[in-house]
Amino acid sequence: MNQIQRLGRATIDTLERLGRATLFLLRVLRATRTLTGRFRLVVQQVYSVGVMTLVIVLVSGLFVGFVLGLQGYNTLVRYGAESSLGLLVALSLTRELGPVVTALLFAGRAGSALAAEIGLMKTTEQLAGMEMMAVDPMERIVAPRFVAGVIAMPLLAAIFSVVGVFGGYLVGVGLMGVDGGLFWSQMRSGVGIYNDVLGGVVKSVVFGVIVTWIAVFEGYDAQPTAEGVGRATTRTVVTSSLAVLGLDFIMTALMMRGL
Amino acid sequence: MIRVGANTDKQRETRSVVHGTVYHQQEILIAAASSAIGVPGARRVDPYAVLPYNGPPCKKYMTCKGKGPVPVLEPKKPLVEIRNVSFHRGERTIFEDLNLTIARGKITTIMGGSGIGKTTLLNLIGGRLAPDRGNVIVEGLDVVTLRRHALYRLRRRMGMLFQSGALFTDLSVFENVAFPLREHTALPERMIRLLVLMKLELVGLRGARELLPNELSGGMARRAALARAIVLDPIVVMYDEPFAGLDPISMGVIVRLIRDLNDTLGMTSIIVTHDVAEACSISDYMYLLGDGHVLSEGTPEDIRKSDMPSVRQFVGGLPDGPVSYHYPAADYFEDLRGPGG
Repeated sequence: MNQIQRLGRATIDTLERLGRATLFLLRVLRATRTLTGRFRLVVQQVYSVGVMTLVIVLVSGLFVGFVLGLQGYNTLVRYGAESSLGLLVALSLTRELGPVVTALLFAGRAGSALAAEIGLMKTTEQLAGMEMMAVDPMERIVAPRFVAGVIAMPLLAAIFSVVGVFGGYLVGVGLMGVDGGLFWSQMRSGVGIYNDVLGGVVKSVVFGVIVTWIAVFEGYDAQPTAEGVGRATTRTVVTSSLAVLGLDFIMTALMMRGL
Repeated sequence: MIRVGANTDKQRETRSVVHGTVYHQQEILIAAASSAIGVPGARRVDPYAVLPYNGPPCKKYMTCKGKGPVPVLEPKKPLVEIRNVSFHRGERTIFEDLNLTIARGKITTIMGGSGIGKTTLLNLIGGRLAPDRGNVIVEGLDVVTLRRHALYRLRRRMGMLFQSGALFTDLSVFENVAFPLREHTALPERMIRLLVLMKLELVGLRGARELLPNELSGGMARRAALARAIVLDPIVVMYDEPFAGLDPISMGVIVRLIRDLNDTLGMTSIIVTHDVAEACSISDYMYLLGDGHVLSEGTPEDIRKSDMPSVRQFVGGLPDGPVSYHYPAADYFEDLRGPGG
């Protein structure tokens, strides 16, 4: 097989996989209709996914806030604009770092766990058993996890941003001596609800859909072997991280044009 | 239709007439419970035959989604008919014009070597796979042409014991067995507890109800899975390699359980296995599959006495015969010498 044939084969495989993933998403969306009667499952999954990721989000948010405070102060102080530190920290977090870093952490922690869990359920015939008990795994397993991921992502991103701002405040005001009143007032006057906060929320919802979709698809589509589950887990993290970064650029560009 | 339990005046007062048949909720529950534990004289009760398939009465206690053909009990007809089924995996032929029937109320064993498609056959019967050609008739319905809701409705009347047990690892034994009841019925918690404990008692695991699947031995896990498979009182239970990997005691227990459950609950059992001795000890009828079709069939005695070389090889566990022990390969000595040797 020459290089061109290999490239053609890889392209066809990728497109075929993308097609399957899209059909899978449609099935998941259709299955979400049945969740009204079993919303308890969604709540359980939001709790499971949220708690799973909460600690890492809190710690990361705090340290990202620390670093933003330090870097921001060192840059702004050269221009005598250190009073804008609060604005810089808040805008960086709500527009970009909150949704993006949370999505990356979410993919690494919850996404990989979702893919592994569903993949293992497939390997141990639990999904097949469910089907034979006349219970659709899409409705009972996949859809609640998908919806839970979409709900949990914006919540986690919001927590990340809040903790990050607090970290920036601790470093900027507590360590570097920026005036606390200026820190908050600049933030309040400069951060727009629609352009900044809502933009960040939209991003985090989209990232939630993408990461959870990739995770549940990879798990459901995994080869029912130990190696297959391992590969699905790895692919979940890699694919969703790249998708998040790529989509972030596209969405940022679209939002900038709209401003 | 259901005549179990004391017919007191109070009960009669609270009865209702549905489609010309007199029902009382207490009767249904007592009858279900009695049939489950094998009370002498208790008539077998299939809650789905009573409730969801007759229309309106399913509203309160059974979920009744979707429309589709309704299975009708026809005692004289075979429960399962495989007609001219062909099935391929890629280039490989698994079945070619396969024909077999599973008699109602009997234990039928499908035997054959590893990889000849025994589990695939169960998946075809359960509608998890579709044949390339042919018909799979279960309870008078062609599984191949059934729409999703109708197929799921049929599956509620089928139980399957997977080789691995397929227990949900995050649920206790009790919750595993209760799972189908919670999904398909709206029975009160008190009733679910009663039914689950009765099924667990049947398989000897009532005391293990709080354990998680990872705390069970292989035999216990399979028994728990069996309790789950029969909790909805199915008309047919399919066993995928129920004897594989079990110690002699567990194997004896499972063999006895399958026989007892089949006889007590009036079910039909389909066993897929390659354990000849156990299969012969338990089966009413046996099929031996090979090369994509039925090599031989009959009672265990017929199979044992068969003169067919392929049957004799399988039953006797002989390495030489029509079925080659070795995977097709080049000449052994040529291979050892290697290229250019």
